[in-house]
Amino acid sequence: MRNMNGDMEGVIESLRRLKWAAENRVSEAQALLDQAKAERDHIVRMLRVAGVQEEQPKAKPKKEKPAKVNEETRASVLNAIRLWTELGNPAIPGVPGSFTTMDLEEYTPLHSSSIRNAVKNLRDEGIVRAVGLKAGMPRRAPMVYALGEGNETSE
Amino acid sequence: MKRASSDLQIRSFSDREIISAMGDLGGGTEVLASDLATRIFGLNGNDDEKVHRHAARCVTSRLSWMKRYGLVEKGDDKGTWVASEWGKQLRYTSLGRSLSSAITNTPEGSLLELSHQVSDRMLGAGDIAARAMRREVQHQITRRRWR
Repeated sequence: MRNMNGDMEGVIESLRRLKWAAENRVSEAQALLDQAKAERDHIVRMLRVAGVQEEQPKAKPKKEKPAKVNEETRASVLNAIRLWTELGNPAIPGVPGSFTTMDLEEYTPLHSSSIRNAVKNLRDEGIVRAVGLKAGMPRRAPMVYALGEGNETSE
Repeated sequence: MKRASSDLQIRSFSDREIISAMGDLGGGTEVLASDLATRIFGLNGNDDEKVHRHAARCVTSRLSWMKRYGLVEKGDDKGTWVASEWGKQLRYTSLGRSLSSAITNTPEGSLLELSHQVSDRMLGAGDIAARAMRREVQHQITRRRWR
Protein backbone atom coordinates (compact mmCIF):
# COMPACT_ATOMS: atom_id res chain seq x y z
CA MET A 1 0.00 0.00 0.00
CA ARG A 2 2.82 2.33 1.00
CA ASN A 3 4.54 1.45 -2.29
CA MET A 4 1.42 2.33 -4.25
CA ASN A 5 1.12 5.70 -2.48
CA GLY A 6 4.75 6.38 -3.26
CA ASP A 7 4.15 5.63 -6.98
CA MET A 8 1.10 7.96 -7.12
CA GLU A 9 3.07 10.80 -5.52
CA GLY A 10 5.81 10.30 -8.09
CA VAL A 11 3.31 10.47 -10.94
CA ILE A 12 1.66 13.60 -9.47
CA GLU A 13 5.05 15.23 -9.03
CA SER A 14 6.04 14.57 -12.66
CA LEU A 15 2.65 15.90 -13.86
CA ARG A 16 3.19 19.08 -11.82
CA ARG A 17 6.59 19.50 -13.45
CA LEU A 18 5.05 19.04 -16.90
CA LYS A 19 2.33 21.61 -16.09
CA TRP A 20 4.94 24.09 -14.90
CA ALA A 21 6.95 23.60 -18.14
CA ALA A 22 3.79 24.05 -20.26
CA GLU A 23 2.89 27.24 -18.41
CA ASN A 24 6.40 28.54 -19.05
CA ARG A 25 6.02 27.87 -22.77
CA VAL A 26 2.63 29.67 -22.82
CA SER A 27 4.19 32.71 -21.12
CA GLU A 28 7.07 32.77 -23.60
CA ALA A 29 4.72 32.44 -26.59
CA GLN A 30 2.48 35.20 -25.21
CA ALA A 31 5.51 37.46 -24.77
CA LEU A 32 6.55 36.78 -28.39
CA LEU A 33 3.01 37.48 -29.65
CA ASP A 34 2.84 40.75 -27.70
CA GLN A 35 6.20 41.80 -29.12
CA ALA A 36 5.14 40.97 -32.72
CA LYS A 37 1.89 42.92 -32.27
CA ALA A 38 3.76 45.91 -30.88
CA GLU A 39 6.15 45.84 -33.87
CA ARG A 40 3.23 45.64 -36.30
CA ASP A 41 1.44 48.55 -34.63
CA HIS A 42 4.63 50.58 -34.75
CA ILE A 43 5.03 49.94 -38.50
CA VAL A 44 1.36 50.82 -39.12
CA ARG A 45 1.85 54.12 -37.25
CA MET A 46 4.96 54.87 -39.34
CA LEU A 47 3.04 54.15 -42.56
CA ARG A 48 0.21 56.40 -41.41
CA VAL A 49 2.66 59.21 -40.71
CA ALA A 50 4.15 58.67 -44.19
CA GLY A 51 0.65 59.22 -45.63
CA VAL A 52 0.05 55.64 -46.82
CA GLN A 53 -3.62 54.72 -46.68
CA GLU A 54 -4.36 51.21 -45.62
CA GLU A 55 -6.69 49.19 -47.82
CA GLN A 56 -10.20 49.38 -46.51
CA PRO A 57 -12.25 46.18 -46.54
CA LYS A 58 -14.60 46.14 -49.51
CA ALA A 59 -18.05 47.40 -48.75
CA LYS A 60 -20.63 44.67 -48.80
CA PRO A 61 -23.21 45.00 -51.56
CA LYS A 62 -26.12 47.00 -50.35
CA LYS A 63 -29.17 45.00 -49.50
CA GLU A 64 -32.12 46.53 -51.17
CA LYS A 65 -35.74 45.67 -50.73
CA PRO A 66 -37.55 45.37 -54.05
CA ALA A 67 -39.52 48.56 -54.60
CA LYS A 68 -43.24 48.10 -54.39
CA VAL A 69 -45.02 48.89 -57.62
CA ASN A 70 -48.73 49.39 -57.61
CA GLU A 71 -51.05 47.83 -60.17
CA GLU A 72 -51.67 51.12 -62.01
CA THR A 73 -47.95 51.73 -62.52
CA ARG A 74 -47.44 48.16 -63.64
CA ALA A 75 -50.33 48.40 -66.13
CA SER A 76 -49.09 51.75 -67.44
CA VAL A 77 -45.58 50.35 -68.03
CA LEU A 78 -46.95 47.21 -69.69
CA ASN A 79 -49.02 49.45 -71.95
CA ALA A 80 -45.95 51.55 -72.78
CA ILE A 81 -44.05 48.34 -73.66
CA ARG A 82 -46.93 47.28 -75.92
CA LEU A 83 -46.98 50.68 -77.67
CA TRP A 84 -43.19 50.61 -78.08
CA THR A 85 -43.32 47.07 -79.51
CA GLU A 86 -46.03 48.06 -81.99
CA LEU A 87 -43.87 50.93 -83.16
CA GLY A 88 -41.35 48.40 -84.49
CA ASN A 89 -38.27 50.38 -83.54
CA PRO A 90 -36.30 47.96 -81.33
CA ALA A 91 -33.48 49.24 -79.13
CA ILE A 92 -31.30 46.42 -80.49
CA PRO A 93 -31.83 45.57 -84.14
CA GLY A 94 -32.80 41.92 -84.51
CA VAL A 95 -34.46 41.72 -81.10
CA PRO A 96 -38.10 42.63 -81.78
CA GLY A 97 -39.70 44.87 -79.17
CA SER A 98 -36.46 45.42 -77.28
CA PHE A 99 -36.47 48.61 -75.23
CA THR A 100 -34.67 50.59 -72.58
CA THR A 101 -36.55 52.23 -69.72
CA MET A 102 -35.76 55.59 -71.34
CA ASP A 103 -37.60 54.48 -74.50
CA LEU A 104 -40.77 53.97 -72.47
CA GLU A 105 -40.75 57.48 -71.00
CA GLU A 106 -42.57 58.90 -74.02
CA TYR A 107 -45.39 56.39 -73.69
CA THR A 108 -46.27 56.76 -70.04
CA PRO A 109 -46.68 59.78 -67.77
CA LEU A 110 -44.74 57.99 -65.01
CA HIS A 111 -41.45 59.22 -63.59
CA SER A 112 -38.35 57.47 -64.91
CA SER A 113 -37.58 55.90 -61.51
CA SER A 114 -41.09 54.42 -61.35
CA ILE A 115 -40.61 52.98 -64.83
CA ARG A 116 -37.26 51.48 -63.80
CA ASN A 117 -38.76 49.89 -60.68
CA ALA A 118 -41.72 48.53 -62.62
CA VAL A 119 -39.44 47.02 -65.29
CA LYS A 120 -37.22 45.47 -62.59
CA ASN A 121 -40.30 43.84 -61.07
CA LEU A 122 -41.50 42.66 -64.48
CA ARG A 123 -38.09 41.07 -64.95
CA ASP A 124 -38.42 39.33 -61.60
CA GLU A 125 -41.81 38.03 -62.66
CA GLY A 126 -40.36 36.70 -65.92
CA ILE A 127 -42.50 38.94 -68.09
CA VAL A 128 -39.51 40.80 -69.49
CA ARG A 129 -35.94 39.59 -69.76
CA ALA A 130 -32.64 41.42 -69.85
CA VAL A 131 -31.02 41.31 -73.29
CA GLY A 132 -27.78 43.18 -72.58
CA LEU A 133 -26.39 46.67 -72.38
CA LYS A 134 -27.06 49.08 -75.22
CA ALA A 135 -23.89 49.50 -77.23
CA GLY A 136 -22.48 52.80 -78.37
CA MET A 137 -23.86 54.94 -75.57
CA PRO A 138 -21.61 57.87 -74.66
CA ARG A 139 -22.20 57.56 -70.91
CA ARG A 140 -23.55 54.80 -68.71
CA ALA A 141 -25.02 52.19 -71.04
CA PRO A 142 -28.63 51.36 -70.20
CA MET A 143 -29.91 47.80 -69.99
CA VAL A 144 -32.05 46.66 -72.87
CA TYR A 145 -35.06 44.50 -72.11
CA ALA A 146 -37.44 42.48 -74.25
CA LEU A 147 -40.65 40.61 -73.62
CA GLY A 148 -39.72 37.17 -72.35
CA GLU A 149 -41.08 35.01 -75.14
CA GLY A 150 -41.79 31.43 -74.24
CA ASN A 151 -43.55 32.48 -71.07
CA GLU A 152 -47.29 32.71 -71.53
CA THR A 153 -47.62 35.38 -68.88
CA SER A 154 -45.79 37.73 -71.25
CA GLU A 155 -48.80 37.61 -73.55
CA MET B 1 -13.58 46.52 -67.52
CA LYS B 2 -12.99 50.25 -67.90
CA ARG B 3 -16.53 51.19 -68.76
CA ALA B 4 -19.14 53.22 -66.99
CA SER B 5 -21.27 50.11 -66.87
CA SER B 6 -18.47 47.92 -65.58
CA ASP B 7 -20.57 46.93 -62.56
CA LEU B 8 -22.59 44.60 -64.76
CA GLN B 9 -21.62 40.99 -64.19
CA ILE B 10 -22.55 37.90 -66.14
CA ARG B 11 -24.07 36.44 -62.98
CA SER B 12 -26.86 39.03 -63.08
CA PHE B 13 -28.20 37.17 -66.12
CA SER B 14 -30.15 34.00 -65.53
CA ASP B 15 -29.64 30.86 -67.60
CA ARG B 16 -32.99 31.62 -69.25
CA GLU B 17 -31.80 35.07 -70.29
CA ILE B 18 -28.52 33.73 -71.64
CA ILE B 19 -30.24 31.05 -73.72
CA SER B 20 -32.65 33.72 -75.00
CA ALA B 21 -29.74 36.01 -75.90
CA MET B 22 -28.17 33.09 -77.79
CA GLY B 23 -31.50 32.65 -79.58
CA ASP B 24 -31.57 36.37 -80.48
CA LEU B 25 -28.11 36.17 -81.98
CA GLY B 26 -28.13 32.81 -83.67
CA GLY B 27 -31.79 31.94 -84.04
CA GLY B 28 -31.11 28.44 -82.78
CA THR B 29 -27.80 28.06 -84.57
CA GLU B 30 -24.28 28.38 -83.19
CA VAL B 31 -23.11 31.69 -81.75
CA LEU B 32 -19.62 32.90 -80.94
CA ALA B 33 -18.93 33.50 -77.25
CA SER B 34 -17.36 36.83 -78.23
CA ASP B 35 -20.56 37.89 -80.03
CA LEU B 36 -22.61 36.97 -76.99
CA ALA B 37 -20.21 38.97 -74.79
CA THR B 38 -20.53 41.97 -77.11
CA ARG B 39 -24.32 41.75 -76.85
CA ILE B 40 -24.52 41.25 -73.09
CA PHE B 41 -21.94 43.89 -72.14
CA GLY B 42 -22.92 46.32 -74.89
CA LEU B 43 -19.38 46.51 -76.29
CA ASN B 44 -18.46 48.25 -79.50
CA GLY B 45 -15.42 49.09 -81.59
CA ASN B 46 -14.34 51.86 -79.21
CA ASP B 47 -13.75 49.45 -76.38
CA ASP B 48 -10.27 48.23 -75.70
CA GLU B 49 -9.23 44.81 -77.02
CA LYS B 50 -8.53 43.76 -73.42
CA VAL B 51 -12.12 44.60 -72.48
CA HIS B 52 -13.42 42.44 -75.34
CA ARG B 53 -11.16 39.55 -74.35
CA HIS B 54 -12.12 39.75 -70.68
CA ALA B 55 -15.83 39.86 -71.52
CA ALA B 56 -15.50 36.86 -73.86
CA ARG B 57 -13.68 34.94 -71.12
CA CYS B 58 -16.46 35.68 -68.62
CA VAL B 59 -19.09 34.49 -71.09
CA THR B 60 -17.09 31.38 -72.02
CA SER B 61 -16.71 30.49 -68.36
CA ARG B 62 -20.44 30.81 -67.78
CA LEU B 63 -21.25 28.79 -70.91
CA SER B 64 -18.85 26.08 -69.75
CA TRP B 65 -20.81 25.75 -66.52
CA MET B 66 -24.07 25.73 -68.46
CA LYS B 67 -22.61 22.96 -70.65
CA ARG B 68 -21.81 20.98 -67.54
CA TYR B 69 -25.46 21.34 -66.53
CA GLY B 70 -26.63 20.23 -69.99
CA LEU B 71 -28.16 23.53 -71.11
CA VAL B 72 -25.72 24.37 -73.92
CA GLU B 73 -23.29 22.50 -76.13
CA LYS B 74 -20.12 23.43 -77.94
CA GLY B 75 -20.57 24.18 -81.62
CA ASP B 76 -18.62 22.63 -84.47
CA ASP B 77 -16.43 25.69 -84.96
CA LYS B 78 -13.98 26.90 -82.33
CA GLY B 79 -15.48 29.36 -79.85
CA THR B 80 -19.05 28.66 -80.89
CA TRP B 81 -21.86 27.51 -78.66
CA VAL B 82 -25.44 26.41 -79.17
CA ALA B 83 -28.35 25.79 -76.81
CA SER B 84 -28.87 22.07 -76.26
CA GLU B 85 -32.23 20.45 -76.99
CA TRP B 86 -32.90 20.38 -73.25
CA GLY B 87 -31.85 24.02 -72.98
CA LYS B 88 -34.25 25.04 -75.74
CA GLN B 89 -37.06 22.96 -74.30
CA LEU B 90 -36.62 24.32 -70.80
CA ARG B 91 -36.42 27.88 -72.06
CA TYR B 92 -39.19 27.94 -74.61
CA THR B 93 -41.81 25.50 -73.32
CA SER B 94 -44.51 27.57 -71.73
CA LEU B 95 -46.02 26.77 -68.37
CA GLY B 96 -49.63 27.18 -69.44
CA ARG B 97 -51.87 30.02 -68.47
CA SER B 98 -54.00 28.10 -65.97
CA LEU B 99 -51.01 26.68 -64.08
CA SER B 100 -49.23 30.03 -64.08
CA SER B 101 -52.34 31.73 -62.79
CA ALA B 102 -52.84 29.05 -60.13
CA ILE B 103 -49.31 29.59 -58.83
CA THR B 104 -49.69 33.39 -58.87
CA ASN B 105 -52.97 33.17 -56.95
CA THR B 106 -51.83 30.63 -54.37
CA PRO B 107 -52.75 32.01 -50.95
CA GLU B 108 -49.75 32.81 -48.73
CA GLY B 109 -50.84 30.21 -46.23
CA SER B 110 -50.38 27.50 -48.85
CA LEU B 111 -46.93 28.61 -50.03
CA LEU B 112 -45.06 26.14 -47.84
CA GLU B 113 -47.11 23.31 -49.31
CA LEU B 114 -46.51 24.74 -52.78
CA SER B 115 -42.74 24.82 -52.14
CA HIS B 116 -42.89 21.24 -50.92
CA GLN B 117 -44.67 20.10 -54.07
CA VAL B 118 -42.34 22.08 -56.34
CA SER B 119 -39.23 20.67 -54.65
CA ASP B 120 -40.72 17.17 -54.73
CA ARG B 121 -41.33 17.59 -58.47
CA MET B 122 -37.80 18.97 -58.90
CA LEU B 123 -36.23 15.97 -57.20
CA GLY B 124 -38.34 13.65 -59.30
CA ALA B 125 -37.25 15.32 -62.55
CA GLY B 126 -34.27 14.26 -64.66
CA ASP B 127 -30.80 15.61 -63.88
CA ILE B 128 -30.80 18.47 -66.39
CA ALA B 129 -34.28 19.75 -65.59
CA ALA B 130 -33.73 19.43 -61.84
CA ARG B 131 -30.42 21.31 -61.96
CA ALA B 132 -31.92 24.01 -64.18
CA MET B 133 -34.77 24.46 -61.71
CA ARG B 134 -32.37 24.66 -58.78
CA ARG B 135 -30.16 27.18 -60.58
CA GLU B 136 -33.16 29.33 -61.48
CA VAL B 137 -34.38 29.40 -57.87
CA GLN B 138 -30.87 30.20 -56.60
CA HIS B 139 -30.42 32.90 -59.24
CA GLN B 140 -33.72 34.59 -58.44
CA ILE B 141 -33.00 34.63 -54.72
CA THR B 142 -29.43 35.92 -55.14
CA ARG B 143 -30.19 38.57 -57.75
CA ARG B 144 -33.05 40.04 -55.78
CA ARG B 145 -31.03 40.04 -52.59
CA TRP B 146 -28.02 41.90 -53.99
CA ARG B 147 -29.33 44.06 -56.79
